[in-house]
Amino acid sequence: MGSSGSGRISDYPGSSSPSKTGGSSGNGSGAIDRCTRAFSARLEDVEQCEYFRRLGQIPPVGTQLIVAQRKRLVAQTEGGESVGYLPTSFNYLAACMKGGWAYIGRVQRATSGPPVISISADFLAMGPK
Amino acid sequence: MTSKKTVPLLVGEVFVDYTITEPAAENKLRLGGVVHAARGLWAVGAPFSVAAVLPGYLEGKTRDYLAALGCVDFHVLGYVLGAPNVTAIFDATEVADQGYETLLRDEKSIVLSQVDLSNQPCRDILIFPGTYDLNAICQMLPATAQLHLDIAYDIDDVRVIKDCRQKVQTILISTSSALFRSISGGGLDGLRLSLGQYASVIILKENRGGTRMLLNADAPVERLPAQLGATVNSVGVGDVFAAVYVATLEQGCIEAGWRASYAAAAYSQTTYPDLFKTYVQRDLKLTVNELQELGGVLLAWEKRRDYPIYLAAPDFSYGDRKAVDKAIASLEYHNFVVRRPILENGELPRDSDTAVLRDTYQADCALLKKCSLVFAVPTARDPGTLVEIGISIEAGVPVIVYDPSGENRNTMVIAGPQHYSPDLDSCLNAVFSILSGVDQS
Repeated sequence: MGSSGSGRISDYPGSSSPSKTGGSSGNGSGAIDRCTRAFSARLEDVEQCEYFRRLGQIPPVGTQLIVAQRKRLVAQTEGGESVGYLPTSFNYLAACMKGGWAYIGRVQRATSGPPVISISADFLAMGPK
Repeated sequence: MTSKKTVPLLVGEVFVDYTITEPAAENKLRLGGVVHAARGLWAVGAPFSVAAVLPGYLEGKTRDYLAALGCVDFHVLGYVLGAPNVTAIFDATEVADQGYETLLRDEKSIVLSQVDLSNQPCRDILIFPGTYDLNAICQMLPATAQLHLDIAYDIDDVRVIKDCRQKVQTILISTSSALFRSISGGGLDGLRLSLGQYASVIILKENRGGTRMLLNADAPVERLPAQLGATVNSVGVGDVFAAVYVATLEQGCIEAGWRASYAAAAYSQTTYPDLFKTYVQRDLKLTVNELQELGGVLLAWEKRRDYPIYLAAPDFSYGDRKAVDKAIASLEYHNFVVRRPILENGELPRDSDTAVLRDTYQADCALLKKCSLVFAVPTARDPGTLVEIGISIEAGVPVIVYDPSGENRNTMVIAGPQHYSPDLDSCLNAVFSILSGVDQS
């Protein structure tokens, strides 16, 4: 954390330099830039998305995905077809992408149900060039 | 050179926030009170002035710290005597009442300085009331400025607002506040009745359920969804909201509300100032339209009671109740109705006969299926709780499993429910996310 321990007040702007890179999600004190973090997400509203509506099935495990903003944040195929929406807890990615970050991943788990269709994907952060 | 006329003035007390963390983690110490708001203004790149009430020993440190944040002018309106203005915080993530303990608060007194800021060129003043006479402070401030009052704390009677000599443009209040609970009648309509006569804009911050803005009698309520992420420290989040709102008001109330909402979310996700500013600056590059389209979690305070939550847990009068009590306290703090089958249908003696057991089982199942969500706390691998998780999954009732000890880490328990976590903050976010989706569908 910006201030640590109880000896003195120390979180002056510019005085702390948390790690700006990090692939792990360990972030107990919020020290790691959220744009740099890899993440896993269970996609939402899969049945309403283009891939399922066109093919009537879910993408196979290993399908490459990219995060894009189409009003909400969506995971889409390399061909630009939406597969599912990211939970809104990942909305911060929109600002990261505006800043040049990209999020590329793959379908890790996919089940057609019943009771529900479920797709989970893992994503890596690709920093601005 | 920045015109001082456009520089907002922050007014409030300065505290030292001391967050008590779990064993083996370092406790946290930082300047709080009005300094949270100052960080918000610094993060959006807005210069500001501060007029503070504080203990004398903090004056030099506060002056230096605020200067580092871009404070243009610093004034001492009064001194705190008899108390160090140190607040111990036991719950940094506000899963329930944060249990603030301000040390020696009963011994505290304020002596106001004879400061005359009435000629300070200033258009907007954001005041965080404290243990000081609000009207006496307002007398020291420019009469022509417009006031924005964050009355979440330290206001017992809203009628003091009408005695402020300045025009009150905005009142901000939080559902975390005891005042809200006493004047709102449980909802926004009550709040409009209580506060509408005092200000043009009323903003109700509803914690993880978002924010609602009452702009005027004819305008629709503007709803700002919460951006829920892993909460690192939620202390001061509401202050940051208020500050960024005032700082961005030139863009209009609605844009100011959205910018404030995102800045507040960022403040909760890190305590590193530079990283906080980085997040805020990135968010500023998104248009308001983009922010609106991203969505988030919306669950109004009074609506939460429409979605009863079934507590699946060993809610017995004996045994280890720590996790169960923590979960109940958390859900009730956030205004959810928790249905407790053991309390409602009876805690059966161990040697109850089968017929009694069957009747209770049927009653519990019926109650479960009437609820909108099941919150399970399977302490000690309670078999009844585990069965209820299964019944819920099959019945299509969303289930969240709070398993702080991790003793139920099992495929069926983790993969079947909508959410499984040992962390109550994470489980609470899931409650809001799921019920927000139900509410908006």
